[in-house]
Amino acid sequence: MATIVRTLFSSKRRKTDAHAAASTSTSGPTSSSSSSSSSSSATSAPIPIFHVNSLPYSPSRSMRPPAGPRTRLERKTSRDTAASSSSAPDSLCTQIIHTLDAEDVRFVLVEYDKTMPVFDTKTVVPRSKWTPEEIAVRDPKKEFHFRKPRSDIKMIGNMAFGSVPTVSGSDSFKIHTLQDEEQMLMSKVFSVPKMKQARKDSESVASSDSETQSNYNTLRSLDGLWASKGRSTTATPESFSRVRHISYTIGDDDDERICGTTSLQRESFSPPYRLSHNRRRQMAHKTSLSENNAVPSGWKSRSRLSSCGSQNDEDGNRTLAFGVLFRFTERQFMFQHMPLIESELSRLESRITNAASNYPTFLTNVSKAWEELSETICQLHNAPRIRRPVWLSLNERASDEKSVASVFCNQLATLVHRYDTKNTKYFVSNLISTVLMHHMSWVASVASPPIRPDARANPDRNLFIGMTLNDDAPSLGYNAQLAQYLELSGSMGQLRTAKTVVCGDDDKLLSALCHMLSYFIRCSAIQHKDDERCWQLPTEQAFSPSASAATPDSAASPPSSVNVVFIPERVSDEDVLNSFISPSCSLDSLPSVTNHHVHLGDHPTPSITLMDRLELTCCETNEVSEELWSPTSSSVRPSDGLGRSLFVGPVPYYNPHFVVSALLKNLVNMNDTFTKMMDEVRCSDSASHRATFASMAPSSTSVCDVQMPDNVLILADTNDWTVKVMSSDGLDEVPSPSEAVVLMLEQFSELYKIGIAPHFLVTFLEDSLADILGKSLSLVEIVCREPPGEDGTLELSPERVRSIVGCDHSDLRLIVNVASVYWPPVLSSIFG
Amino acid sequence: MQAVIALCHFCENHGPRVVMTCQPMRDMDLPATSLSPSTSSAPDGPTIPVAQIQRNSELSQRFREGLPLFYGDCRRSVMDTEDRCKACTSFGNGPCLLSNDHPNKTSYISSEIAFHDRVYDRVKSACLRSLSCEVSAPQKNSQQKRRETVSINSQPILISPVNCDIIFERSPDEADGNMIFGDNDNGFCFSHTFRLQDAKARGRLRLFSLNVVSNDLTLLTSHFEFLRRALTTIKEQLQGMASLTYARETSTEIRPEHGSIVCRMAQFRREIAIDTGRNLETITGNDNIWTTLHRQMMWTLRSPILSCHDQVMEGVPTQDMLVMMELDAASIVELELHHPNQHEVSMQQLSNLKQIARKLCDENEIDLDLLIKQVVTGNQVIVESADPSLCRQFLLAVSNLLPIGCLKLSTYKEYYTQESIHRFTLIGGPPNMDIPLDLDDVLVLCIISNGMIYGDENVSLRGCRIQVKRRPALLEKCPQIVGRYKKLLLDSEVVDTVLETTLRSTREFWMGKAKLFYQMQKQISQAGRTELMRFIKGINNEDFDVVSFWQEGLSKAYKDHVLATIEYPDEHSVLG
Repeated sequence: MATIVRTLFSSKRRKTDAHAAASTSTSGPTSSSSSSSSSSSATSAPIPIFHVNSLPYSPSRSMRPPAGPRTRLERKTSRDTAASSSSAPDSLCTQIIHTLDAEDVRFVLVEYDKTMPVFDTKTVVPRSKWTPEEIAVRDPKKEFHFRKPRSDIKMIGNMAFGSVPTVSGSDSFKIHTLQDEEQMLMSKVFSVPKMKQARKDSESVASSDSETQSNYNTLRSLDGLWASKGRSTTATPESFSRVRHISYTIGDDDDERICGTTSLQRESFSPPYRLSHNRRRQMAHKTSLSENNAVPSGWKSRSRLSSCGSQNDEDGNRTLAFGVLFRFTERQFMFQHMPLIESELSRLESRITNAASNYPTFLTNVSKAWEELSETICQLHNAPRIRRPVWLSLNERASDEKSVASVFCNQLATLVHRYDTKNTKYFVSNLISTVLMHHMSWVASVASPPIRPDARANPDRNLFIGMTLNDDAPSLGYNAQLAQYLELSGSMGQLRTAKTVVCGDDDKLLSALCHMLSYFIRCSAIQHKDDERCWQLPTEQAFSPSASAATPDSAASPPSSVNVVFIPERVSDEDVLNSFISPSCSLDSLPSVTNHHVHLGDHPTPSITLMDRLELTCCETNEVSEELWSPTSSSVRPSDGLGRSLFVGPVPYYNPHFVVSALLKNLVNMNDTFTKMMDEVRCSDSASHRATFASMAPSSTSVCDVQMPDNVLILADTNDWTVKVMSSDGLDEVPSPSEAVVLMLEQFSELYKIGIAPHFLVTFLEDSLADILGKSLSLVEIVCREPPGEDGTLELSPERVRSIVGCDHSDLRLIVNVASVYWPPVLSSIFG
Repeated sequence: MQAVIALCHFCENHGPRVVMTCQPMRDMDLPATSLSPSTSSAPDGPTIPVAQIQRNSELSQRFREGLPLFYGDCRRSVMDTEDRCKACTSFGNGPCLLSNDHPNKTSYISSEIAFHDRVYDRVKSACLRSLSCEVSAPQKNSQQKRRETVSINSQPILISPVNCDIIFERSPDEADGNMIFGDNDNGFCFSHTFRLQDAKARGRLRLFSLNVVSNDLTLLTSHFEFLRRALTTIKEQLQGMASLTYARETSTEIRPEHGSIVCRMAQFRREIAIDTGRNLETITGNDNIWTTLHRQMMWTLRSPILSCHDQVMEGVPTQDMLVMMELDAASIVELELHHPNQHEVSMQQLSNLKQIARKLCDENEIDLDLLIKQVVTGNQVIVESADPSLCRQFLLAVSNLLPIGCLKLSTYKEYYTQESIHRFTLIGGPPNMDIPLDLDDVLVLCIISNGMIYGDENVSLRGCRIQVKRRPALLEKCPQIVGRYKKLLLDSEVVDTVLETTLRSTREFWMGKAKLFYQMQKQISQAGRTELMRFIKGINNEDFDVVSFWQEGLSKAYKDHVLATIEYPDEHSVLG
């Protein structure tokens, strides 16, 4: 490991040699001189703090790895550090109590009509996991030992394939509940080419697997990464030009047909304050059962590890199914992370398909693919989570926002004081600037709605934080969890993703940074409440639809035969009326009230029926079982957990699903990690891509020629205080922060020092962010205008733009990126 | 339509058939976006796309005195052409059930098959798979339970439905099981398969399935527990009703005194003939079974939606907006804040503002500085003209330099009164008003028109001359915002919407400083103004008056919020 770290940082490392010190010793608690020196200098000159000033973390010398999934590497180190570290768990992060082990999940690969499993983690055992007895008797040249197949293979096959196989070519995903075994089975049927017996050379072991990855894994050193070619997403624009003609990529014929009724999707500008709303409307439309919303037919070819197609002749295919068996108690976790697990399973499928092309290495590669997948899932399950992601917690009405705000302000002030100095290359400003440039969901949260003269004050409206209840939600019908997930993973406006990894050695500092970022990286908040209205059902009536057009002969008539009216409980007639009458008619206009039916003249009766709770006693809508997995505090309903689950504290591995996480550098092989990161950045089949495709109009991504890169990974390193942005174009170091962010943090610190209440500090930050958005609106107006006068040129110098917009040169990039969220053509004004 | 629920039956004559489908119908409006950006703060004009206008006329036809007959596209685009018998028929192609959830603008329609072909295809595929392809997990428990029942049972038949088990080779529980299956091409389905007892069915059981069909797998998984319970409950009720019917039908033939089970079985076999054409109403003995199912399915589809409160991101209302909500209607009209052509009105005002700036600057640059300074610091600007509309246009134009809350506007008064001194800062009136000479901090301007065009609105100041009649003392240094405004107003590039957005962002920027000042003033009351101002970054001594004046223009709602936060720092949580 030492050599790896050395080669990795040979060019960049500082003289202090903290890494070498940390890496030559395998034991954890080696101090990192770079971070401790800067933090000890900070503690020697404490800032005057008026409030609660127990600093949330102190320069820590212990690097206790969090209880996470036990990768081989960590097993070693955690044993070493176990004795020395007995400190209390970090207050900012929660640890998952019941961890998931790779052994807890069983993986089975079965072939249609065969009784022997192709693979089974319980019975096909790789050499590394042999028992001592097995080692004694088995042929050591053999990679695997096959134990006696389990009796349940037939049953698993039955469930996965069904009694009648589905039409070939159609993948079939299934989830069964095995109540007796208290297990769940997740299975998928797919077909692979017949295996070739031919190649037997030992060289090809693992080759079919590495072959598939080699398209991406060419990168073995970081040399190629430092300079990014072509357009950069972090560099300050050199010049602007007016955007006169936006070239649109019109979809193919099929697309045209799809868009025929919804031609507006292709257009680009949506007011920033509507971003969240519009995404939901679009989702409701796109996921609607009645719409033409097939996933693009080219979907499979988008897959990162798609099969190479030479052996795809029909009769040469074998039908396989894989099954993943997990404990019933893990279902909440699995279901909650469904988009992520689905994408992982799809990768697994591709890898098995690829592995099938080479028989000798098949089992090795399948075993390896499963090992990696189970590791990813265990990491997802076990990683320490940010206890209270700031933005989400601030929006939870019932919770202790006050303390959330106050902890956050303490954190931010401390971080700024210590790590936003010349010595640390203005690390905090730099990091926040970069996060604001790429995790774009904050834009919607600070975009004020336009002045509506008819708007009336809403007493419930939060005047400090940009969240509002979506009253439209029930009338739209969309999946709020998915909408939240998309916002969080950075798919705002355009299809793109953004993730941030903070790396370093000091886990306290790392969790503080992750916690702080959970304020800037935002998403909508979902709350589940028992709603009395659930039990008040609109009464039915007979209805004869017309066959062709919605002409008035579609007749609805009051029901004649319906006489079942449930006896209401606890709800008076008046309550019922108030809650069910549409705003357009008042109580006065109701001529008669009979029982629970309200008659409006000759109208179809807008009346309701109260559902008898006894009838559906076991179906209380809001039930939380204690055993269920929950990433943060127990007050959170588990189904809201996906969003929260993506804010992760320090971990000894890189997992591409986390939106924010911290990487303990001394516990990982950074070279491998970089390779993995690069793979992810280049991948266009991640969970969030799939979710976006499933929920957004395909044409909205091709709105203009110039686009932001699909995926962005922000890498912030607390060892050398650099912030880098990794994208498919390369790796860019962010040279300096945006002045607007620097000023914001300076003012924040000043206000913090004089003891301004945390609420006000938060509103100050909100106003500062809104200010950046306001400037981006000005920029858009400038670049989309025709030049005034006849001799006006299309070119605009950055100085000119800056002076009109009223910003610093260093803010231009941030402002452009913000504008691109709601008006993507702005990008062609700088790249054009 | 996120999801539909369907009841499917394996008909003994026809095989798998969809018997009933409950589908939520909603109006589907896509977000209206426009090709060119419109960053204007004015309300959106009537930019309804053509398609939508057509839809609206359709909609309006449906409206009778306010409430629509239904929501969404409730046309039946697919007719059922499959062979059916009584056992696999519910509504047929005839009238079905409709429930209008007006507050949530959704119609729940239960019909035999779905109205839309795409939906029908998916439901049909789910029906086939749930009833004839998929295999549920085996249930050992139920077998055990059955055995126990047999051994324990010593009671006469027909009391409890459970006891009926004993006469079957197969239990109604046998096919029970829920599962999710599907793929991207055919959608996903949460399926619950079950059997109902029927004395005249082959094997005395009929196979059914309840299926929730959606395109969105995560919707099914995230509501897994809820769906499992809801469908189980519906199933149990159906099974309960079916058992009672079964017991009733068989008991008429069997007397307890007939002795052993074997004896009863023999008689049972002999006397009850197979009838494959019995529908659900008969099996359950409930004539309202479709209505009941409709309600339960609607409840199942609707409850998760109602209990999910999605708080979407949208910025807090600006101070301007909050102030406007607090203004009375007359002031809104006076300030021209609400107009059918609000955008044009605003653009005209801004164009006038540029005219004013250009004219003053051409005469004497200092005068422009003075005008802006007077406006932003809340000192008086008096405009005289024989034409009230010119005064009005002038004052409305310069009012764009201030937050709405700071506007103290009197567009035209015949006399300059004591009230004028105290209540207003922007005042219009006839030429040569009697303005007390001891008022030293006023700017008096006179607009001289040379044959201008009269109109109700859109009065341009293009053809006018502006004369300065009285100047206040000039400050050594102007507030920073004066320089910024001046630059924007004189820049030929900055017109119309560019000017609008840049002025707005400048106002918001300084409003932010005013907010800080207000908060500090209330929280740290012992400190003096200068002391507090020093904590605000980026402002100098000359800006103090601006910040002071602007914080007076903060909305009442906002001020109350701030005070509440300070007064009840512990109990009262303002962020919530």
